[in-house]
Amino acid sequence: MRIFLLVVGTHLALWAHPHFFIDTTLRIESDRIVHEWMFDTLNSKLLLFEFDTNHDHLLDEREEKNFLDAHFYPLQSNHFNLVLQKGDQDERIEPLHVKANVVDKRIVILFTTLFSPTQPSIVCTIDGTLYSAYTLQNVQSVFAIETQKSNYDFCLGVTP
Amino acid sequence: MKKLLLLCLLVYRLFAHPVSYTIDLHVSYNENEKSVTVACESDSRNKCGLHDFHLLNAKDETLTTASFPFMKPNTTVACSEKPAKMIFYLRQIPEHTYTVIVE
Repeated sequence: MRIFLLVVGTHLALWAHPHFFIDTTLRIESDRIVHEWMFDTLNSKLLLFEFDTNHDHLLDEREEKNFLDAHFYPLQSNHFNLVLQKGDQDERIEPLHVKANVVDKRIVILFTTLFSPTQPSIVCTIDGTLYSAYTLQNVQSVFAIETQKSNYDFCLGVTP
Repeated sequence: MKKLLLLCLLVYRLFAHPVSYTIDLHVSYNENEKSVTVACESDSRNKCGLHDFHLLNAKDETLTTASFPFMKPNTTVACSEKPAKMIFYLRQIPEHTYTVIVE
């Protein structure tokens, strides 16, 4: 039975898209943005089933690395689902201090991007490949912001 | 049993796809200004900003190419003649296109 389910699951994986609902919190500081991505409860359960190999409901160092290697760093090809535009120019996106942990049974990714909006700028968290939905839960900013959000993504106009 | 349930949920998750959105495009040409205004309406307007567009003449020659801006309902670009067609495409996935015939 177990083998049957694995075969079915593997077969379906060839045809289907993975997807995640991610609650997002941003803190925009003068020279950086701190991002917090909290995965939904169901996907967190499934991901912990896969990556929490010692079943302690936490991600230890090795489990955290395996998780980030599978579900965060591959997003580099899609600019980590971020758009940072200063004026009309796209900024290079390089996440720093990337961490993953578990809070209230939900997986959370924390990271920082360097960004100094010296002119009107745009900050978006959006998956152009349509696999993930990002919901803006909270934003703190040292600059004036204008928010445009849907159930799937959000953009902030940042005015220094 | 718990593992079986999780496996079933995993299979269900692979089938489901919650992220869908609408795109409604309008193209108009201003003969006096020699400019084209492209409006993009969507239930997720941010998605409009992920797209670039080609304006083409009747021979399918590209007249101009531009990006649709984030956080704007429309954009205007200079164009020396009235385009016959617009191809609106995802920058990340250029094969993902919308085509608008300009009337």
